[in-house]
Amino acid sequence: MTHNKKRFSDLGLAPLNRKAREMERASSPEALEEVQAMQTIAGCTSSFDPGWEVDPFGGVASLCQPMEADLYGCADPCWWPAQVPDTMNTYPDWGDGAERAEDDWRKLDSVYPGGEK
Amino acid sequence: MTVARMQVMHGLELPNDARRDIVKYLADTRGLAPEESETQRALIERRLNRIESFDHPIYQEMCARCHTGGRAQLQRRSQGEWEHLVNFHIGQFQTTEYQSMARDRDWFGVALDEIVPWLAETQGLTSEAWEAWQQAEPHEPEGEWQLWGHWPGEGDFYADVSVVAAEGEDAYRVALDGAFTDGRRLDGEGQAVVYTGYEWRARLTLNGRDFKQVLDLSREHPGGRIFDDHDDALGMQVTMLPQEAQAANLVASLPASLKAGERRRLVLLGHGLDKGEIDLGEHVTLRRVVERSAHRLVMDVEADSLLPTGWLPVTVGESSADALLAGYRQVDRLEVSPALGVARIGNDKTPPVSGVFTAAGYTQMGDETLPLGQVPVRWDVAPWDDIAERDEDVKFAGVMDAATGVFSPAGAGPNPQRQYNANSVGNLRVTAAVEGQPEIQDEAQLIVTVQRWNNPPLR
Repeated sequence: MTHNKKRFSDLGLAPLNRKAREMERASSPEALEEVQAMQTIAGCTSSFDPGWEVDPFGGVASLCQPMEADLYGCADPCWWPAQVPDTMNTYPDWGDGAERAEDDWRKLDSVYPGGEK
Repeated sequence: MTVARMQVMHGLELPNDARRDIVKYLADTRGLAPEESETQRALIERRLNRIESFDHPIYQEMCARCHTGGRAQLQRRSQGEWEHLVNFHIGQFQTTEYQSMARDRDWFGVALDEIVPWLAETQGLTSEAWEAWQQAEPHEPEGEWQLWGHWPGEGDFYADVSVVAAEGEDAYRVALDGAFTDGRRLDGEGQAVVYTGYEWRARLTLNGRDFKQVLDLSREHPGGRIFDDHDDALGMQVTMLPQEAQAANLVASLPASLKAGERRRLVLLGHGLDKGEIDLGEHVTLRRVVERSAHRLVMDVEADSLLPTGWLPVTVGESSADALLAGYRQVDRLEVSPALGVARIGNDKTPPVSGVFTAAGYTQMGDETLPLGQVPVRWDVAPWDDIAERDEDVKFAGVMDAATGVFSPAGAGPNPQRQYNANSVGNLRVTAAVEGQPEIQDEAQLIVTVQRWNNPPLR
């Protein structure tokens, strides 16, 4: 098992937006991992890409906002399947009738696997 | 969960009543013993805002980065079946390996080589606990009970609960007749089914509002949670006690403390409370007995201004308790929970999830810290940090009820009043200050975040 401990700049990556700059400013990659591991609340995704509930800094300012602008960018590649019904496999018709999530988000239904609602 | 996956992912068509029968059969014949579900009661009861920890260095980042780790902890499989579960994840959620905490390692290899053996060893298909539980006498819920708890925003309550058999295997009808400690009535009814001999699942209507209830009947005092199925945060931990018992005793006091100079309603719960003298010590005067039965004593009492700090002697007939009801003069420390909460904005399709906070008081008695239970506080929210202040999170994210500690999140959707049409999310500092002692405070962090569309019973 290996962990990538390199900073963005070590990888030849330059921060372009606020989130990337803030991640670069984090004192060390280890510190970033520690922060993110400590803030994991049961049932919330802890993957910080940027994270569904919280950003890598434990806040919300660096979340992808508004979330609806790239919602199908989450649903189609099955990126947060615990939060967003994945249209890749599990709920292929979820977005039907709501072509532009930014405008049509009110039409999107919740799914209740295992429940009767 | 397995049946749901067959339906959602593999097109199994199953009427709801057949599905219920299958789940009941599987729970009764291939379930978990009480000690096997014990560590995950919070998950089963939909208690939110918990930090999980596990006895494995990477289980959390391997498995519990998308869903709770408890979800898998509630399963028992052979090694081969655990391997199937890993294969299922890769096949069904095909970008699993590209996500954070997966692309930095050989996720599939690690899952098979490190996680599966650990799960197979700690959660194998067979267990002594399950073998023993199948021989045990099931817990019979029929009869008369009393139940008590704290309803966020409403207060402490108690109720007589009548459970009678209904049509169907292990099915019951429930009727509740009770009150809040401020005197308002609390009525309810519902239907319940008991799975695996102890897992109580009920649908209740309390004062016109729909709830679900989960109880573990295997305990001496069955306990669990009543919660709003659409807003899991709004729930109440409850304890249920048979109304009849062999010996007289005092089990609970609502509230858990009295303040010097305070006149209020006091409810004592237990058995054999209908006979004998009531003595609450020299500094607490009994003003009126509102209700008295074998299992409950409802009184109006007054604590004088000389009430000492410490456990108050409580005697009712043959029963006495020396660590049931605390007396205090001031709150010395406040503790808000949860320390970190997550609320969600919502709409009719994705109901909002509230932020529900409580404040427990403590007073110091020499070296001893005396718990006072929930004490009256005023609640407020402020920006958590400079970024939250800049983004005006307090203005957009929702409203904190200053009296109850219940935060109602804002509506879902892009907010045209915010920069980039951002959602009405926020990073807030929740503060509670003791009423009459504003210098005694505690705080917590509240993340108000976006909704989730996927809502399995076990998150």
